[in-house]
Amino acid sequence: MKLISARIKNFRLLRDLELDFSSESEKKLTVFRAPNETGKTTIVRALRWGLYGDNALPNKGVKWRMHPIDWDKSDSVNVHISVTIEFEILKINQIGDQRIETHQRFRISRSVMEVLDADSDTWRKTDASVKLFEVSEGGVTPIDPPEAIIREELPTELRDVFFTDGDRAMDFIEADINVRSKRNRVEKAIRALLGIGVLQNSIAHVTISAKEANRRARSVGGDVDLTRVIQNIENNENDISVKEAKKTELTEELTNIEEMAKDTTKQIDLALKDGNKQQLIDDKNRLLNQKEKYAKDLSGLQKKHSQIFEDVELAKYLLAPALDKSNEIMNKLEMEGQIPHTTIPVLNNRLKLGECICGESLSPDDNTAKDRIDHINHLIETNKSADDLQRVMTALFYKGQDLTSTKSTWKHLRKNTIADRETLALKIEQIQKDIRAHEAKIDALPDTDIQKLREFERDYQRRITGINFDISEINSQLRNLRIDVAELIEKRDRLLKNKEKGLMIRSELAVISDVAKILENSYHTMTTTELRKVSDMMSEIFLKMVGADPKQKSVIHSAMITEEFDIIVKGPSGRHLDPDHDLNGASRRALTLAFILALTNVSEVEAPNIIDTPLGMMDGFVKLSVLKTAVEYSQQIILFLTHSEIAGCEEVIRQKSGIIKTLTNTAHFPTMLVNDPGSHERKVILCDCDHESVCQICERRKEQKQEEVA
Amino acid sequence: MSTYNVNPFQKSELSVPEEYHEFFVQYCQTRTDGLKTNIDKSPFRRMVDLWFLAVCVAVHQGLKPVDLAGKKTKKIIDGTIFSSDPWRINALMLMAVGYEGKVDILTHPNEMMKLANNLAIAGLPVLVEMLKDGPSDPIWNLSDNILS
Repeated sequence: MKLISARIKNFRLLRDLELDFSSESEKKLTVFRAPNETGKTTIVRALRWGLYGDNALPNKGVKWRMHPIDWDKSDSVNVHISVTIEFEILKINQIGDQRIETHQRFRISRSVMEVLDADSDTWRKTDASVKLFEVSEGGVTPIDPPEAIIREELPTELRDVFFTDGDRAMDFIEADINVRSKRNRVEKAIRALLGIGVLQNSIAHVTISAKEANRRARSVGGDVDLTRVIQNIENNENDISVKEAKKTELTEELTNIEEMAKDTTKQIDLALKDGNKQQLIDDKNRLLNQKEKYAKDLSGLQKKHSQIFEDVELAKYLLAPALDKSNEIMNKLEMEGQIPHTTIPVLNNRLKLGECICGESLSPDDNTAKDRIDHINHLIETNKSADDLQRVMTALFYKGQDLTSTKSTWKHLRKNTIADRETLALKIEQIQKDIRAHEAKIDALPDTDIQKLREFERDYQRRITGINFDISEINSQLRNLRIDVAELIEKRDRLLKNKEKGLMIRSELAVISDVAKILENSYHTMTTTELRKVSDMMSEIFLKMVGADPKQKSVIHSAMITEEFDIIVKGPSGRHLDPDHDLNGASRRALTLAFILALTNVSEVEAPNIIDTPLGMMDGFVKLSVLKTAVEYSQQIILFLTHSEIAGCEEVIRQKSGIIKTLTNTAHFPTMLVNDPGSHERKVILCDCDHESVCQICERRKEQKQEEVA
Repeated sequence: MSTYNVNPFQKSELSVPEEYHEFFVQYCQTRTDGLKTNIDKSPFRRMVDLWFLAVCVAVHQGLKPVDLAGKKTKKIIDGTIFSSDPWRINALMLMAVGYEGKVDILTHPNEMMKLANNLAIAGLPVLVEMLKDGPSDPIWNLSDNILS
C-alpha cells in the first residue's frame, strides 16, 4: 500500500488540511517541515484513525476529544470530523515467467460527529461511519466491508511499525518501559509480520479437536475416576482459556496505560520546557508579596523623608545667620559675667550662712551686722528687676548650645534619605518588571495543569504495578494448571487403556497431540527463522546508520533480537551493550528505526513508513546517514521534520523528495511567526514552501528559527 | 515670664495672611478634606512644620520680615504647639536675639512671635516656590531646592 493523499477535517487543530504524498519509486520521500506544536503527532493520529478507527487512538478513543479545543459553540454544537485517505495497492500476478503488476486505488472515508454540550466541556460521539471505495477510471465503487482490505494490507499489529512517532519508536528498547512490554511489542510486531495467523488458527482448531475428543472419552463411561479426570481436564483447560484471555486483556490494558503514562510524561515535559505554570504563578505571588513589603518600606521612607524637613539639623543649617549672631551676643554676655546669673542666689546664700564673703558677720543676732544685712537685702531687691531677663538669658545660653555649638549634619541626613528612597524605587521598578515578565510568561503558557498531570502519571504507575502483579499471578496459576492438565492427561490415558472403547479415543487423542506438536514446532521454526531474518537486517541497517564497521574496530559490532524478543547490541568480543545505558540518544533512535525498517522489509508488505521527528537528538554524520538509509530501505517514506532535524540534511532531502511542504500553526503569531496568518482560530495550515524557502504564511522570527535549529 | 521652664509662646498665635492658608491645606498632612494624604505631595506632617520652615527659609535667605499690620490673617495654630518641640522655642528665641542684636526681646514673647510670624510670611512664598519648582512631587522638589 502507498498513501496518495489525505484530507483531514476538524480533527483537533487540523480544521481542514489536504496532504499529498509522493508515491514515486525514485522520489519516495515526502517531507513536511513542521516546527514543534504544528500538529505532527495529530496528523499521524488522524491517519491512523482514518485507517484503523478508534482502536488506533489513545485509550481506544474513549473520552478522547477529537474536535478542535477552541471550537466556537455559538456556530454549532455539532462537529463533523472526518478523515479521507486515498491509497494505492500493488497487485502482482505471475503468469508463467511473466510478472504483471497492476495498481488498484482506494479511498477510505471515516467520519464521526461530536455533539458538544452547550454548557460544559463534555461531548458525545455519534454517527460514526467508515466507507471504502475503489477508485478507477470507470468510477467509484463501494467496497464492503472496508476493514478486509485494510487488515490485509496494513495488519493492525504493524500499526506502530508503519506509523511511528520518533519518541514512541523508542518503546521497543527504552528503559522507562518495562521488559515485558518491550518484549511484547517486539514479539507482537514480529509475529504479525510472519503472517502466521493461519498457523495460529490451526493450533486453535487442534486445541478444540482435543477438547472434543476429551469429551467423547467421557462417554466411554462407567468409570467414576475416568469421568472425574476428564471433567477436571475440561475444567482446567477452560480455566486456562479464561486466564489466557484475561492475560491478553491485561497485557493490552498495560500497553494502553503505558502509552497514556508516556503521553502524560511527554505533556509534563513539554509544559515544563516552557515553564511550570503553577511554579510561575507561585513565583509571581512571591513577587507580589515582596512588592507589598516594599510598599510598606516606601511608606516608612516617605515618612522619614517628610520628617527631615522638621529636623533640628535643618533649622540649624537655615537659621545659621541669626544663630551665629545670637551666639556672639550670648558669649559676650558670658564674658561679661552676666551669664550665668548668680548674684541673688549667692547673696541669699550668704545671708543664710550668716557670713559675708569678706568674712564679716551677717548674723541677725549680731547688732553690728544689721547695716551689712540691710545693704545685702537692698542689693537683692535691686537685682530682682533685672533677674527675669538674666535668668532667661542664662537658660537660653545653656539650652541653646545644641543649636549653636555643632555644625549641621542635615546634608548628610538628606543624602542618606534620598539614597534609601532611590534604592527602594529601583527595587520596586525591578520587581514590577519581574511581575510583568511573569504575567507575560503565564499568559503565553497553555493552561496545562501540571499538578493534575502528575496525579495522572502517579495513578498510571500504580495501575501498571497492579497489572504487572496480576499478570505474574496469572502466569503462576497458568503454570500450575498446565502441570495439573499434563498429569490428568497421563491419568486419563492410563484409565482409557483399560477400556475397549477407550483405545480408539486414546489413538485419536494421540494423533491430535502429535498434530499439535507438529504445528507448534512449525510455529516455533517460523518464528525463529523470521526472527533471525529481521534481526540480521536490523543489524545491517543499524550499522549503516551509525557508520559502525566492526572491521575498523568500532565499538558497536552488531545488533540482534534474542529469542526472548529483547533487542540487544553487541560490542567487541561479543560483549553485550545495553541500549539504554551504553548507546547515546541518536544511536538508540537509529536502532529502533532500523528495527522498524527491517520489519517492513522482511514482511515484504508494501507499506508506507510515516515517521514523526525521526531525526531528533541526532546530528552530523548519523543524522544524514539515518535519513539516507531510511529512504533506501523504505518503499514510501513520509517524514515530519523540525527545522533542527532538517539542518544539515538539505541536500539529501532535495534529492530524494517528491513532495516537500510546510505546516504552520496560526497560534504561533505573534510570538514565533512574523506575519499575521489572519485566522482567529487555532489551526494548522499548509503552504507550498519546501525545506529551504519561506513565505508570508510560514516565515518565522529569526530568534525562534535559531532556537529551533539550535 | 518668671521662669524659662515653661513655653514662653503658649499664649501666642501662629497666624498667616488668609491668602496663604491654602498652602497649609495643600502641603500639610493634617488635611481636613477627607482625602488620603500622599506624603510626597504633602511633605509636612503638621502646619507648624511648614510655618517653622518658612521662618528658617526667610532667615537663611536674609529676607525682611513682612509686617502683618492691617492684613487679614488667619490663625493656623496657637503657640502651645511648641511644648512638643522645645528646641524650636530655643531656636525662635536665639533667632530673635540674632535679628534684634540685643537680648531684651527675650522677655517679650509676643514681640518674638510677631517677628517669627512676619518672617514666616516673608519665607512662605519662597518655600512654596521651592515645593513647586521641579519635575517631581513637592517632597523631591523641596529636597532639591532647599539648599539652594
